[in-house]
Amino acid sequence: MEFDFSEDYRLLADQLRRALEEAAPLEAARKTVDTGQINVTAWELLGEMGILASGISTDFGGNGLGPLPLCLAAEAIGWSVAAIPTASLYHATPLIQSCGSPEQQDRWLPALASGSATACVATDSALAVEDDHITGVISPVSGGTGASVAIVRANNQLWLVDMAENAVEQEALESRDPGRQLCRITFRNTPATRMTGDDADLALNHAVVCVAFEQIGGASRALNGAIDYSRERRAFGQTIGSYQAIKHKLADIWTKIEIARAHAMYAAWSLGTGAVDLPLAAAAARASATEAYLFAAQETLQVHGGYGFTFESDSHLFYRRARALAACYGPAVEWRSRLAARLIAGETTKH
Amino acid sequence: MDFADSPIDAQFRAQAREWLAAHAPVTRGRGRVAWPDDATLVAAAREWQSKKAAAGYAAIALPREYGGGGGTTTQQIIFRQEEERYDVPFGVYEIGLGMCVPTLLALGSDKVKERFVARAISGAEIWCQLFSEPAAGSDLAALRTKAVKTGENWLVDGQKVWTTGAQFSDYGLLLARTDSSATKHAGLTLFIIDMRAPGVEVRPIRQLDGGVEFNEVFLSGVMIPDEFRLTVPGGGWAGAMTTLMFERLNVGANIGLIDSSTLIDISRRLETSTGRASDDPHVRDIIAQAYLNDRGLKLLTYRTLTNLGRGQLPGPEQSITKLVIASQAQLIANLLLDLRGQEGALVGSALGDGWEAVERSWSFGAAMRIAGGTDEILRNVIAERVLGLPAAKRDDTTRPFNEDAA
Repeated sequence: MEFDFSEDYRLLADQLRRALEEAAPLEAARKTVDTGQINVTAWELLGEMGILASGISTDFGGNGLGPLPLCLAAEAIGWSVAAIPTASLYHATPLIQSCGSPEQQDRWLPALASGSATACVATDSALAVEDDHITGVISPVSGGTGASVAIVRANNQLWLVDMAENAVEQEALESRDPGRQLCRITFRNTPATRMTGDDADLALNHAVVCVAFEQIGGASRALNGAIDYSRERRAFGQTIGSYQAIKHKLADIWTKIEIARAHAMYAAWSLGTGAVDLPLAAAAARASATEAYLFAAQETLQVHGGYGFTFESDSHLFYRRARALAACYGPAVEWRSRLAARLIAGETTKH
Repeated sequence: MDFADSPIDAQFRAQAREWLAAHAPVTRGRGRVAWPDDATLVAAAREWQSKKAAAGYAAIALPREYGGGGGTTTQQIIFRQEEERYDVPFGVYEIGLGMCVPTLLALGSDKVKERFVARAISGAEIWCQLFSEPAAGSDLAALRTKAVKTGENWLVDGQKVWTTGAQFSDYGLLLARTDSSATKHAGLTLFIIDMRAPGVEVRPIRQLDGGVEFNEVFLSGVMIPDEFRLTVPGGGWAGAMTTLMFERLNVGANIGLIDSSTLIDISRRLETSTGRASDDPHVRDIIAQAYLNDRGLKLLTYRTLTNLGRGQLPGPEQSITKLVIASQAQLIANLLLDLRGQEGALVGSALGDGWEAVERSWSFGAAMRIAGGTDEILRNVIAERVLGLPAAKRDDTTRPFNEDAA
C-alpha cells in the first residue's frame, strides 16, 4: 500500500509551493482584487517548471509527464491564491489534447505548452453553427479575456474558435474574485473548426480534479493563517486558540480538508492511470473539496473577528477564491447529485 | 501510488484467506451476530481464539515468544479485514489484546509478562480496562479510586464505570490514586487487578437502548500484590497514556454502525408517500454526503497503512474516524426513520428486515460519540496535537489533588 505521491513528486510539490509563494505572495493577490491583473511572473514560473507542458504529449511540445505535476501545481496555486488563467491549464489544454484534430493540436498545443497562448472553454451552452461559422453568446467564461482560442459546443459537437478573428466580441464581467477573470464572448458568424472528438468528459474530470487540489491548497493556507492568528490574538486574558470554541472550529476545518485531500489524491491516481472509476472519483473530489474550501474560508474569516472583514486581512482572498472555485464547473450540490446517481446505480471505485 | 499489498503482505493475506475459509464460521450478512448471552459468546470466542492462537493469528503483531504471530501491525489489519467477512465472535478479546497486553509488554516486569501475556493471547484469560469513574470521564485524571500500600500489598477502594467485559474478565488494568497529596496527574499508579479477587463486584449498566454491554465495578478493600504494580508509584498517568496510544493502532475496526451503503440499500427498496426514497433529492444529497465521509475515511485508512508500511506509528489524526462516523450514523438513522413517517417511532424489530441495524445506529451512535474519547475531546486532541493550538489554561493541575477535590 502506497497511497501517497512519490518522493520526487512530494519534493516537486514543495518546490512549487515555495516558488509560487515568492512569485505570488498574498500581497500580490490583494492587489489583484483592485487591478484584476493576471500574475505574469507566476504564469512564466509555471512554464519554466514544466507545468504548462506536463499535460501535453512530446509530439506537440509537451513533456508528457501527465496530470500529477499539474495536480501538485494546482495545490500550490490555491495556496498562493495566484491570479492565473487556470482554465487554460486544467481544462482547455487536456480538451485539445483529447479531442482536437491533428491540425488543431499542431496549431495550439506547442503554444499552450510554452505559455505563449492560453485557451478558454465554454461547452455548456449550445451555439448555432452554419457552414463552419458559429453564432451566439457564451458567459461567464473563465480566462476568456486574453485567451487566444476558445472551445465551444454547437450542434452537439466541439468547435475551436481562433479569438483573433474579427467577428468575436469580448466583454469583461465583474468577478467576485478579480484574480479569476470572467467575460462574455459573442460570436457573430465567426469561422470555427470542428474538433474530431466529442467526449468532453475526460477533460472536464481532469479540470475538476485540478480544481479540487487548488481548493485544498487554498483551504490549507486559510487554516494555517487562522492557526497562527489564534495563537497570537489574545482575549479575556488568554490566546483565543486556547478556547474550545476556536479549537473545535479549526479541528472541524482540518477534518474536512483531510477528507477532501484523500478524495483528491485518489482521483489523481484514477486520472493518472486512466482508471474507469474516474467519473465517480472526480465527482467525489470535486464535491468534497468545494465544501471544504467554502467552509474553511468562511470559518477562518470568523476566527479573525472584525479584522477578518477588512481589506487588509487575507481572509477575503480565500473567501473570494473559495466562492469563485465553487461556482466554476457547477456547484457542489450538482456534483453530489451526480455522485448519488452513480452510487445508486451501483458504481464503485476500483480500490 | 500503489494500492496493492507488498509481496510479503499479499502472501500473508492469501494464507489468511485460505485459513479463514477452512476454519472460520459461515460468512455473515449485514450487521453483527447477536449472541443469546455472555456465556455463549465467551465460549464461542474462546474456541475461536484458541484456533487462531494455534495458527499464529491470535495476536499477529505481538512477539512469538508469548504466542503472538511476530508479524506487523499492517498484517494485523489485513487479518482483521479478512476476518470481518465471517461470523466470528467479536467483543471479548479486543480490549485485552489491543490495549492491555501491549501495555504489559511495554511496562511489565519479566515475571508479569511471563505470567500473563501468553495466557491472554491463547484466550485462556480475558482482560478488561478499569480507567473511567463516575466523576472521571473526559477528565480521567480526576479519578478517586484509592490504592493504599499496606505491607507488600495495595488495598484498593473505589468505583469504576463503563468497564466493557468486566463480567467475564479474569484480569484488568486498573488506574488508581496512590498519593492524594500529589498533584492530579502525579498521584496515579497503574496496576493489574484480579477480577475474581474478594471485594470486586461487577454490576451491569442498563443502557438507554435496554442493552447491557458495560459495567460498573465496585472495589471494596481489594488486595493487589505489589508485584502486580506496572508503573512506579505516581507514574500511572504516563502508563495509562501508553495504553490509550495502543488504542490508535486499532485501525479500520468496524464499530458496527450503518453507513452510506446501508442508506443506499434501504432507500432503493423503500417506497414513501412521494415515491421511491432513493429518488428524493434530499435523500440523494445525504447519500452523497455520507459517501464522501465513509469513502474519505477509508482512503485515510489507506494513508495510515502507507505510514505503517514506512515504519511510522499512527498519530492523533486517527481521531477523525470516530468523530465523523458516529454522528453521521445518527444522521443516517434519523433520516431513514423519518422516511418511515409515523412508523419511525417504532422499534427496529417492528420495522422489518434490516431495520434493527438502523435502530442500533440511532441508539449506539449516541454511545460512540462518547466512548473512547468524546467528540469534544477528540476535537481538542486534533486542535492541540495536530494543529498545535495552546492547551486551555487550567487551575487543577498544579495543586495537590486533595486540595482541589475538596
